[in-house]
Amino acid sequence: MTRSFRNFIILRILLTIPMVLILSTIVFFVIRVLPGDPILSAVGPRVSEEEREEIREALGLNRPLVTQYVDYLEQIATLDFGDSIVGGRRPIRDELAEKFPATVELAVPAMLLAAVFGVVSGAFAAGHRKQPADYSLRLASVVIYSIPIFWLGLMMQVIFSGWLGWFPLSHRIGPEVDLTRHTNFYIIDAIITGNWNALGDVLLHLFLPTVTLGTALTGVYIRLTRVNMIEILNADFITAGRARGLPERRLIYRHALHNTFIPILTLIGLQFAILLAGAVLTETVFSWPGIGRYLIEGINNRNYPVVQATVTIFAMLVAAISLIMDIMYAFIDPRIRY
Amino acid sequence: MKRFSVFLVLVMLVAMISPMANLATAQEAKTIIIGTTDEPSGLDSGYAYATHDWEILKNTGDALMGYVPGTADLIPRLAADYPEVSDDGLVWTFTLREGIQFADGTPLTAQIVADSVTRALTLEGDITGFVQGFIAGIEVIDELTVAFTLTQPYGFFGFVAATGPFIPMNPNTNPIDELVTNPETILGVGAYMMTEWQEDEQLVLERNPYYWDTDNEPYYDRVIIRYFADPTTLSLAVENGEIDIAWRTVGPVEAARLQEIEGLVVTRINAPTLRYLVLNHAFPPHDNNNVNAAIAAAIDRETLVDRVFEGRTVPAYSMVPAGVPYQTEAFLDAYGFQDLDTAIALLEGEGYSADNMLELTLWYPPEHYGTTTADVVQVLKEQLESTGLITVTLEVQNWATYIAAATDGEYPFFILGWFPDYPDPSTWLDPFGTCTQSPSMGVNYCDENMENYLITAGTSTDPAVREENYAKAQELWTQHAPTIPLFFEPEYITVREGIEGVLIGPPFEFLYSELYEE
Repeated sequence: MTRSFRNFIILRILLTIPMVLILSTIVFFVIRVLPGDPILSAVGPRVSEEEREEIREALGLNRPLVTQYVDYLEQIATLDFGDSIVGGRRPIRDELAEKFPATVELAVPAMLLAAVFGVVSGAFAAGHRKQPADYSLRLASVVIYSIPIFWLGLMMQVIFSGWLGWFPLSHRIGPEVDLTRHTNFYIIDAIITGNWNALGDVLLHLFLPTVTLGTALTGVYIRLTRVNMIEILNADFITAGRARGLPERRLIYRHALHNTFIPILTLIGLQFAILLAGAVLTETVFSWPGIGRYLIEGINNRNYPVVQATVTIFAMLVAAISLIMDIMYAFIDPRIRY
Repeated sequence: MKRFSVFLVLVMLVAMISPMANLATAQEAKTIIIGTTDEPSGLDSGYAYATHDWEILKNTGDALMGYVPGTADLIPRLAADYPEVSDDGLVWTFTLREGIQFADGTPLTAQIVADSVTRALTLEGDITGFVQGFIAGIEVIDELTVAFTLTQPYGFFGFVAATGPFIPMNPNTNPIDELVTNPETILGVGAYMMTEWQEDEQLVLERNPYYWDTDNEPYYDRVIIRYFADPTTLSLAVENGEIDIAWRTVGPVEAARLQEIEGLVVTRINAPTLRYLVLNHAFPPHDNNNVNAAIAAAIDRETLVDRVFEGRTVPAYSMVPAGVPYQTEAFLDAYGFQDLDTAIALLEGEGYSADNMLELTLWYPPEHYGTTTADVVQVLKEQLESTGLITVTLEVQNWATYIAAATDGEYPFFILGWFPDYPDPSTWLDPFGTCTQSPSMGVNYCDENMENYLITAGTSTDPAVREENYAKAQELWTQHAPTIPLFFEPEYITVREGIEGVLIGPPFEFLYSELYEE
């Protein structure tokens, strides 16, 4: 690792701090400006105002806003976001430890599926430009991009679970499958405990949500790869390769595709935020107990600390993915200097 | 690459074989899987004030009092007999059955019951306000006897003693000074004990080896409650056979679809879930009872229910649902299905005319009670405007904002839902009709006669006195209309054919120990 590259990484990590801080501050104040009372939302109107005030005091919600904000900054620094203020008042760190792995276990395979399938299809379409395969893939990419994710999920459930019975309808694991949870990444838990029965069940449960979320993002990759590939396939070095008699397949998938990876990597970084938004809907359709559902419930209940914690984690995750993408640029294209 | 392919094939094989392995384990114990879109909030009787929490607590525990399954008939459960009530109605003394044990073998004592209720009173859970409204003091008389001193004489306290906070928690898992809202196990005195809870996924109940009610041992060894985020997925799951029972909440449209599927039995449960209009008496024109009565007379519930729900909800002619003692059809008696002549006469008597229309703004939440709310308020608007003397403007607001504004008294005219705590008229009438409670519901209604009727009925243990005063209160309700009941929304339960024992009555209790298969 060169010194300039190391400096670049340090600078990027340091820049993440103000980014997360700004976003978290906005969330902190915006959710409090929104009308609505978390205590009323939790206990309903039948509890008197005096009793609601007692609960508010017990939870520290009647302290000055500045005091609450300072506490919140401390929580971000320690990654201990306190307790949820509705629904059992559990420690948010515990809840995130359960739900975050579920979202990652869904989002990462979905992203890989979208990227791999999208890039290969896009390259194939570019290699067969103005042929039926190209038209079909372009049309498919537009259709896929336009389909609402919850509708796609529902159709997947009806066809592959309801009609064909190939995959389970929802959830991460079957109701009667025992799995000892260590990390809450069920695939990892199943592997480290040697529970192959559970591993099979987890993979089956993962299939439909992954395909739904991945498919929804594939369209963008197909179009982007195709456009970039067409440009590169007209480049001089490809023409030279053809003149030397290199097989077309090798030209497309080895030489041309390699050179389209920079914009694709940029897209993966940007799409990750969209992927998390899509995960919210996918998690609802498939009753997937992830962080997206947790955030929506938090917003609906005006559960301030839950919303703050979840958005902060999302921000950190997106920042981390962007950083990884930036680092990967250097490996893919050694000409890039930082 | 070749190795990777072999790995993939192996993974797929494992995936194909694993469901068969599941089947083998499933056959060992009698298991039933119940799906729901509900979610536990806090599973501690010192905290819980949500329908599903009470359902789990009632299946893993028992209260001092309870009901004959499927009815509102109050019976002693942990209490050996009906309570003794002091002459002034303030002190209720319960004697426990002998030999009751928690699921870890700990014997139940009066001190444990007293400590459990004290936790609900003092630990600032969601339920604290509810309990503080009734309990002024608790005294342990002896090993099996506990006495509750009430804040005022409540004739219906027996029903209160059947609610969540009167379910004793195991002192070994629930200390007196701390709430345990997210327990790993619940070792209560009920038919089942909770052995697993994965939030948003499932909760597992297993037979309690120390269950005291040996005459009613459960048929199923295990009950798995499976949590769904979406009602459509829930109904698909019961259709696919992934769950045995789809419970709350499958809406009327999905229920109608499931009814057509062979092998499923759909039952309508007359749930006490009420939708009603609030007329905030702090705002003109609702400080005028003639105007309120005119609005009440102009509403046609039968048409409303037919047009919006295709007859799948039950028109409400009182705040109190049918099946609950002392209920009358007061609004039907006063105005029939609809009485436009009376409505018009009342409005004209107050000076309203075609040139001086009564202008109302009706607020509603677009999402909280489902998408039908928009249709409900649209039909109400048409009905009120059919008098020719009223114009209605509809206003929407998202739930979190709406409920705060409504109960703070910011809306003059709005729609809300109500779910009772126990099957007695007081839980449907007092919060809206008494001077002390109605402001916190956004009603701001206070009338000396109504107050007198409700307090007399509520504090008396004499059925005749209660019947007379609740009848008068419901009649006066039609004239003052602090609220206008619209309809009761039923719940639907879908069970796999062959499963019996779904007994859900007016208290809305679903005891899994009643379930069995032929």
